[in-house]
Amino acid sequence: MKKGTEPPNRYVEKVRDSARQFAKDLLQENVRLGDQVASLEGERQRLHEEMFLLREQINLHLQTQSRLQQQLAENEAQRSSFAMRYLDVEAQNANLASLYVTTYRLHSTLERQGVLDIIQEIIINLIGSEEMAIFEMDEDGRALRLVEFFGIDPEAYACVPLGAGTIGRAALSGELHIAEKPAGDLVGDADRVLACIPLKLGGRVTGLIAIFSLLGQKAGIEPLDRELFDLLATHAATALHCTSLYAAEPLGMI
Amino acid sequence: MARKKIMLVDDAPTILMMERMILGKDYDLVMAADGMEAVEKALCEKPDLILMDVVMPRMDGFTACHELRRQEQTRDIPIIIVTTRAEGENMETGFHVGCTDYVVKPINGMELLTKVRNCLGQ
Repeated sequence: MKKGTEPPNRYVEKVRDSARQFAKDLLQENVRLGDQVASLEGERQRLHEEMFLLREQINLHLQTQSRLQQQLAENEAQRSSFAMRYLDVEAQNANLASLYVTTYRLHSTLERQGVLDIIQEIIINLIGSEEMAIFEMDEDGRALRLVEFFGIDPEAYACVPLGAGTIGRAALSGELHIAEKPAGDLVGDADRVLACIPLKLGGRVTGLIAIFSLLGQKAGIEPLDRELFDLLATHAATALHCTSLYAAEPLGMI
Repeated sequence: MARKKIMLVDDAPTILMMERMILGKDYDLVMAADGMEAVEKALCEKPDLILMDVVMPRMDGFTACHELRRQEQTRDIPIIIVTTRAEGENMETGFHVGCTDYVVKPINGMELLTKVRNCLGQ
């Protein structure tokens, strides 16, 4: 045997011991890795469950958000609707104020000239016209007599026979007349009346209000104007009739 | 908070009544029937705003506006001209004599309220 070399048996034992140690280490490592895998598996399961819960929460929040957005849209639509209704109500209130003021003013005096002035005020300031005429039926009931005017030539309308022209025809029919053409297109027409409002008492025509034009800032006859025409048709007639009664018997009044 | 005071100036009782109905709920009101009465009352009532008609007896609205702007006690009161005359030259005259804003007749209630609130800073 050479010096420095191990005997074969010793070498084999050494290799066997090394292999045994290596296997032992491998087994330990295997166990350790197995434990680690189990731990990671557990962690993965936990995270998976957590993620599931979070997803559910997100879905819930998304549903809540969607519901709140829908509610917000509904509230906005409702608010917008209320705003529109508020404007409508305010406009109606303003219209009702005009009608109330007209009625109140017409019956606020028993003086004939006072009533005629008030009719003129209403037409100028509430309807918006500075060319108008007020007629009363003469005693025969065959013609209209001009009793008040503003902005027109009175000679042209001093006496209008029933049935003559637009004014006469409106008085004959007792029906409200509104020209189909706008006021601006009537200029130059021989019979340029924009509106004729027969005044009626108990179904009988007692007079008529004629409007020849509107103020420049007014586009045309509006729904409120038609309501004012209806109101004037009866209340102006009544007011004027009351002035006649009062003139005939003033001592009876307190 | 004290209610604001508005002076209504018009020779037509119908318009004064309309303006009272539109404004009476929210403001204290003082009335005048012509420009001269308006100037006299403005000096003692000291309104926060004046609604002024133009065509009036004794003193028209433009003259009254000019007079109010001359007086130290009334020169800063906002004045809204209320008139049937919407022509450009009339509006120009109004602003030239010192009016703050303009409302044409027939009065639109919402427009009047909006302009009143704007002039009063509400």
